[in-house]
Amino acid sequence: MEEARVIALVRAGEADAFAEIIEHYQTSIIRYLYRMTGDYEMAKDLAQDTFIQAYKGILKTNAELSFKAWLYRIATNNALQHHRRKKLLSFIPFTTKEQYIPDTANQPNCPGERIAINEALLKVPKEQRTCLVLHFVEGFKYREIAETLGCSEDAVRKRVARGKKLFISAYNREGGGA
Amino acid sequence: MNCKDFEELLSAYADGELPRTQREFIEEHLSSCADCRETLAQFEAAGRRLSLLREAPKAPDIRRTTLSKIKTSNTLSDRSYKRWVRPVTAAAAIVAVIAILLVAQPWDIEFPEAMAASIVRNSPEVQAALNGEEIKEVEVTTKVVDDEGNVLMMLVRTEERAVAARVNLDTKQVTEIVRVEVPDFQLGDEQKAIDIARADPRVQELLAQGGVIGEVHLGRSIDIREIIGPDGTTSKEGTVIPTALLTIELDGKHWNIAVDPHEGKVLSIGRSQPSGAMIVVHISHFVTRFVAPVLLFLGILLVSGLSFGYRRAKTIAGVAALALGIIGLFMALYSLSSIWWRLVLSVGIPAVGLIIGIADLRQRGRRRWMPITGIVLGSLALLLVFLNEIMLNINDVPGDNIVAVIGMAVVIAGIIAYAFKEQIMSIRVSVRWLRPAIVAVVALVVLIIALVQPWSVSPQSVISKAYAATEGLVSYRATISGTGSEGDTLDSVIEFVFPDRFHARITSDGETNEFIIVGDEQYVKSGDMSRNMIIAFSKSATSMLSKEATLKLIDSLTDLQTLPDEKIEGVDSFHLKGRVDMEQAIEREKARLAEMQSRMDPDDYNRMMESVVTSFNINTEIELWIGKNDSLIRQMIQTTQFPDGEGQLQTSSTTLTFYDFNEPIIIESPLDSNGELLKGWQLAGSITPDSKQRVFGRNITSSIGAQEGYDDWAHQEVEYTITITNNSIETVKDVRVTISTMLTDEANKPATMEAQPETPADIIAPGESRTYHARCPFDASGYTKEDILELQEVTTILVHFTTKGGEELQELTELLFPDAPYPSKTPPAEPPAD
Repeated sequence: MEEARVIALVRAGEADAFAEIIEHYQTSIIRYLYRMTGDYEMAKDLAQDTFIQAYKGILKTNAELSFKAWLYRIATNNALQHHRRKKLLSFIPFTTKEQYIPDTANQPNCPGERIAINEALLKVPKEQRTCLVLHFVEGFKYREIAETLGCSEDAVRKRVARGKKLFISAYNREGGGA
Repeated sequence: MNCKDFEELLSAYADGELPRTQREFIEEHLSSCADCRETLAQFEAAGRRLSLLREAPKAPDIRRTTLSKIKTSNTLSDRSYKRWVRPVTAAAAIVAVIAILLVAQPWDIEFPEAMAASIVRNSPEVQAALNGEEIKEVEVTTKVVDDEGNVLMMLVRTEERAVAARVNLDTKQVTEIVRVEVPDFQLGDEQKAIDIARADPRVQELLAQGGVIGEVHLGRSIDIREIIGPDGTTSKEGTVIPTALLTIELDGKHWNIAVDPHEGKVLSIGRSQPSGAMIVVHISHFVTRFVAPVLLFLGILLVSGLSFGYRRAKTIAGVAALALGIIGLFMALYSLSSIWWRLVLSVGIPAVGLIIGIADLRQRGRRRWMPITGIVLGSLALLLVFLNEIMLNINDVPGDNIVAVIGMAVVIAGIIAYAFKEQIMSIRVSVRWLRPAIVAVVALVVLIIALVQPWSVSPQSVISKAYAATEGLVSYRATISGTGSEGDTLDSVIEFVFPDRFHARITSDGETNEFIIVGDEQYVKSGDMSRNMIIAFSKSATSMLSKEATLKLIDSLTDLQTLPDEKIEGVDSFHLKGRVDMEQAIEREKARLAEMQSRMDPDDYNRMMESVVTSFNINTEIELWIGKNDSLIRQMIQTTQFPDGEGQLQTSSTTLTFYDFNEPIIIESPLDSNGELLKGWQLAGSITPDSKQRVFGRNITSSIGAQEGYDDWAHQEVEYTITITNNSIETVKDVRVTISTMLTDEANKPATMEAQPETPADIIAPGESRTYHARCPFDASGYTKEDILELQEVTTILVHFTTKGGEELQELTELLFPDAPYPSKTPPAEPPAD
């Protein structure tokens, strides 16, 4: 896919050209959002929102970011917003319990260990989790993470290290290592 | 350093994100620190575990659902389209609507004829002129659409009488009413007109070149002329001339031949102005009346639709593109008369149509035919404007056209580039050079525009347009007023009909002379003018004002400069100033004199030739006012500075104001129905007994000396060489030259001598010269030098001749300046006694 050409087409009003972008990124964005939220259906919806926002964004701005970094930033924001919404939900009676309980029904085809890993990951605060997922799942270099999140590489390194420590303790606590 | 502090580095080391120096540092530390090795292992394990999460359930395809969400999230799915098309089309539509409303004023449209007819019918002046009788018929005879307004000449008839009325459609007023007699057409007039036209040599020449006679239209033309009565009062007299108008098409050009079938003569021949002009005016009235409101409606729909995200906005855009394309096409046709705003509109409207059409087409709207048709029509309209620009200015400075064409090409390229900007910008390979290239091209265009300044009119292009417009003139009137160096004044009115008819009334220092020139015939109604003066006057008046002379003058202008625009009698005009290239002017003047030589007195001729050369010192400045719309010369002021005998600079200036361009002007020989000259008129050059015009020009030389074979004072003689030139247009016969002199043998006793012709003949044709010789002997012994001079001065020379009509006449030639009163060809032995 020639990203620039597609973006130009989208800017020129060819909405259908955007399908190419969705096709290219949908798998990784859904996966990213899934790992971030732990909810596969939610990840699908958030991915859809992410692409719609990206589409509008293309028309509105000429981002200096690389398209990929920018797309992940939107996805990250959506994931974080999802968490905020969930937090809001926690203030509403009878919903509190669901807050951090991943719905296994929404995690198809997941072998036991991966579930444990996922569970442990979700225990890591979102700031660090974002960095862990971007690096280990999405294969981002620290530099790319820094670009996506709009912070320094140093901060990324700190967050990754901190995240790993928290992940390890969470994983061990969950008994994943057992 | 505490190993705790190494955690971050170890984490990065495990992730392969450490620079080389730190990596080596860590590796060195790891080799000696078991704790850290443990931590690293934990980090690596965590990484491995987390990497397992790369495997995720196979994602469903969310393309379709996302796209449909995208499309339903906006009414106009397409934000980019909306983003620039909306303001552009809204602005364009508003501008187009306002412009068309301003130009067309659809609330105030009436067909010109109907409007003029109602003006005439409701005019109390017309009613009065018709004695209040019921108007039976109102007919338009002449239509002139120019800057002074739409002027129609109407013929208004009742049962009993008729008047001609000039109506100005802009002021909605009847400006002139004259009673007229109306001749009616007869059966067969059309054929008669064709026969008459075919008999004319000029028509024959057109036909010989391959011209084809087209349709014949019968109409009437009205000529209103001012008549100066014997008591000096002026009155107007109108003549209705039955006119058959023939068109001859030759090489794509139309020649209009006006024929009076009753009088059996050709009234005028001329290249027509754009023949479609009147049709276009009619179309324009139709369009403004019926199409403009529709367009207004469409424009409002377009603006509101696009501005408020109306669902059918794209359809409206298609309709708008189509409508603007059609209007643009019409405007392009209308721009044939090349008034600037028509040109602007005829470029602007199809251009807007093109933008909307292209933008709309790229939306893949359902009704593709509308934008496509709009684009086609818009392109056609623009093409027409270009061709029109090129064709109309065929005589123009070449650079002028190129600039116009380049300018328009840039506009169109800009429109297309804008419409396809994304595609252009997304050409990857070109991105590197595209931007600098665009910048360079834009800079170049700006530079060219700055240099050429197409908004300011170059005087050369105005002049060359004026030249072309003057070339197309068939008739005009002009007034001339001037002030000479000695305060003498000149006031003239002249009329000119292409190619060789002039009518001039010249008033100079209170004396009025009138000339009519029809072909080679010159008629004079003169006060007290000599033949030479008449010829000089009529020649200068006519040559100054003939089309050819004007063209030559335009051609010889140098040092042109543009002055602020001015209005001449209400006509917006360019104001230029230039100098006459003197060398050209001198050559031209010499050629003109040489042409007239045969009709001039040789003395006058030589004197004038000399004065032409001294006119090298003359500085002639020409100020021109040239109508902006028709490029016709409206006014010309010629200011001449020349040194007088004492070397003082004298100034004389002449103002010429031109009007009644291509109006039907009738110039006829001043003859009554029997072919007799009207009272006060004479055919210039004809000989009449009471004529004050000289028949003969003369050149006399004389010398005094001793008679052949003698050497004393008693045998002297005067020798005369007399050359006479027939300046009239008649051949004279029985020509004799006699010399009466007091200088004889006996004091105070006159004697008459017959001069002998060099060649024995007594007939002199017009323009011919003949030389005579005579010797008058006298006895000088009793005279003083002064006596001889005195007696010689009273010598008279008579030319006796018989006219064509058999009248015997004689013309006196006084020996005003004896060339050689004394001494003589052979010196006397001793001087005469004092």
